[in-house]
Amino acid sequence: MAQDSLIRYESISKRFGGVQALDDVSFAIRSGDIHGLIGENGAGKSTLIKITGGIYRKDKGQLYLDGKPVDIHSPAEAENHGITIVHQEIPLCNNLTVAQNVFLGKPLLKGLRQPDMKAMEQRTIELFRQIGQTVNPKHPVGKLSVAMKQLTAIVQALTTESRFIIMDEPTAALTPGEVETLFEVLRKLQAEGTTILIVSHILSEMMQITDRVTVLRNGKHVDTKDTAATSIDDIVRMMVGNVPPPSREVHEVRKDEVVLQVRDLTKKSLRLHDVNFSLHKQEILGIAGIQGAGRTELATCIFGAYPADSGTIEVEGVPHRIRSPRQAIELGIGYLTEDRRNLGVFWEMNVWQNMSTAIIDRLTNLRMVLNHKEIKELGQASVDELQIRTQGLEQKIRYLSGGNQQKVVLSRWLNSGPKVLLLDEPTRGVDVGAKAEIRRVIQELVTQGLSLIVISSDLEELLAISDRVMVMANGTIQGEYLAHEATTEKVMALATKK
Amino acid sequence: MSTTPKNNENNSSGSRQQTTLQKLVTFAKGRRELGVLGALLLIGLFFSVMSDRFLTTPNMLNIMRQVSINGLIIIAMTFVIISKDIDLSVGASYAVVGIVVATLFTQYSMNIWLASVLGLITGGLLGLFNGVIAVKGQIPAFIVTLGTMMIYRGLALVISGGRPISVRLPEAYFNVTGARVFGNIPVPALWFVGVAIFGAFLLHRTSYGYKVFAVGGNVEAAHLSGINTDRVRITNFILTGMAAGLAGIISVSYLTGITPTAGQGMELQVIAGTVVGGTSLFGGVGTIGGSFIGAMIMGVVRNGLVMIGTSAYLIELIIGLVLIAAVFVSTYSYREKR
Repeated sequence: MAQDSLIRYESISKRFGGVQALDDVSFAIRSGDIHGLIGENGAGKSTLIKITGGIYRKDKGQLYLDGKPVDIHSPAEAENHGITIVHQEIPLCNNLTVAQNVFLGKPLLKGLRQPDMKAMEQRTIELFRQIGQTVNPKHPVGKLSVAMKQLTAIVQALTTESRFIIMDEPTAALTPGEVETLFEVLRKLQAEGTTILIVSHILSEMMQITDRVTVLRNGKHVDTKDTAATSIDDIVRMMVGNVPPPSREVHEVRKDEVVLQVRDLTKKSLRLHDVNFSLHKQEILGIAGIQGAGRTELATCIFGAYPADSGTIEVEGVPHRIRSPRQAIELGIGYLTEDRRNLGVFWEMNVWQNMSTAIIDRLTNLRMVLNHKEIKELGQASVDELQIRTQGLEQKIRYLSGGNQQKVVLSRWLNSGPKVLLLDEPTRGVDVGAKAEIRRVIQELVTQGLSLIVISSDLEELLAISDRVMVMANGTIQGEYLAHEATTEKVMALATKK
Repeated sequence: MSTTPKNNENNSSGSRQQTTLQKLVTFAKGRRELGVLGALLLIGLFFSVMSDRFLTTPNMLNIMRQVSINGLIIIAMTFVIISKDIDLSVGASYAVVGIVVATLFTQYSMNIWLASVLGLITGGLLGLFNGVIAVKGQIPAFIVTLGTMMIYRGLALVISGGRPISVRLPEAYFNVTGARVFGNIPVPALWFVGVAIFGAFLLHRTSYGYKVFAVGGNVEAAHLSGINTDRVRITNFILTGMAAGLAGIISVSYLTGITPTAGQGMELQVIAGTVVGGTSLFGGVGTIGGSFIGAMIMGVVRNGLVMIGTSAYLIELIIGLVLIAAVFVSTYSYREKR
């Protein structure tokens, strides 16, 4: 099979300080395949990608390209070999146009070495057509959707005639429709002979798009299989070893008590209008919808980050106009942001500091002096309760895995003693194990008397955990289903209503 | 690769010792100010070897006096820079407050204590103005304070009519602001140490200090966590205004007068001292201990260079090099390694 493989890893090892990120990993990616790379956070996927792209150097082992041993020392060398990485955070210049980004660093020139904008714009249109898309090449990239940015990055790769494209978590921020488009593009590229390595947490997508999958666990290669010869359950078992599947806990919704009642909420600048709904005590209310439907906007509006133009929010029967997050917190509302990296975590701070933000004024003596004893006790309790894996409360949060960072930010809200928690994409970008634990915590919270609003793009997950699912589109509520009557099809039909 | 005899004798205590050592290493790693302290000691050692007059009690006290005026402001500037702002108007605010206090005392024969209190309030108001314009007007602090640097300088010139003012202060007042006490210890240095201790308490031990770090680390996340980020930022500007004012008052006392052009270029010296002390211009990182040492480094280098007879033309050049070298060393360990 060696003839057949585009790239072959043999006994690749890489160590960072005390962590063996990759340990003797060997497998091959066949030429012309779409190959899936799967593993929990910390399994070694990113490290492997970065070694392939020349960003990291391997400690041991050998890389073979077309059967010949190669050493890739820099991203430029990787590009010369025809290898391109489309990163999760897409490095495009938001102030430049699509065409300028596509030809970034290697512009087409004319005459006296001036950039030939016309030619680049024309070529951009052609390249996008090649992947079945239309684009305005003069559009600033900053105003594109995440999906279009990704396609721009892919088109960028086409200009360098890449034959091996690595995509790191390409679907994490996409809506189901956009994912479908991306997959069509990938299949087109595959038909033209490009080999693709795709990294994703979303196993159903991996089953759909890949020819073969490789599973890594704790830096070790578990197996490489034909996708057709495996199943999601099978892959999950390979990823985490053997763990029981998450079970749905039954809890009683207190239908008689309305904790939160939203009436005619309108916020023009967020394109929210006439939002009406109620949340019962001990209820998990799911909000479904496609990207841009207004789900996050609704959450931030209720939370006071962007105060509403009109409408009222009743908390336990008392109407309020919530004008700041501070006021929302005092009323017993918490908001776990969807964008943990930019809006949730304080990167320079340690674990306890990240846990205490929302209630720092309460953790003081004389309303001023930090009460470290209380802070430490509360922090340790959270670490135990949520099973946060950290070296200690003084550990910088940047050294925790994504799932554990999420639990730290979650504990920030649990410690604020909320009645209502708004959880925006609580399991995005966390691995299977952490996902299950966060779901367990969500179930526990309602049995303790909390009421939750959960926003998730993972519709199956949302249906599995919610008591009731509300569907948003075009900035308002389109309808709702009780858990037992909701199906993916019904919800998507409402979500895509024009 | 040498091990201490103790380690060889007793393995179990050896391993325990290692963990203590490891603890010490992790402790040191998390603290930039230790690196800055090391730099200060090295620089001090160099000058001690080069000149016998450097490491003497009178000279050390002299350095403390020299750094104290900038040092007072460096402590407050640490708050501003940690929360990702900057204040370029401190030199001008320093002059305004000095001129205001001196004018009230000489022209209006006001009680000097009352004049000083009004001076401090003036400093606070100058800072408040900076803060409100920058924060509520959503204009970068760099631009706002660049503007007010000129406005405040203009104020100092207008109030004084462009003329220096000299004062004859009551002795009781001079004793707590500008004199030397307890065997030659300069009072301005005591103020510097006192303000540093207060600043360290405020920044590292109170919820206010915590919020300063949160705002500088991630202002959006801080807002979403219920922190009144505007109030924190504005308060910081009031702190630098008041610190500049206090520095102005002490300087009027020590120098028995002030010129309206005093403190020009001071803002850059202050920012340099803060940054040398390990405070990051990217926000969210910094310590008062580091800033204190940063202020000392700036003073020690200047003083030491004079002591070893460096040409006055070379001094500024060398201080510039020290600034860059110090920041390079103190941020080196924080860079992402590949």
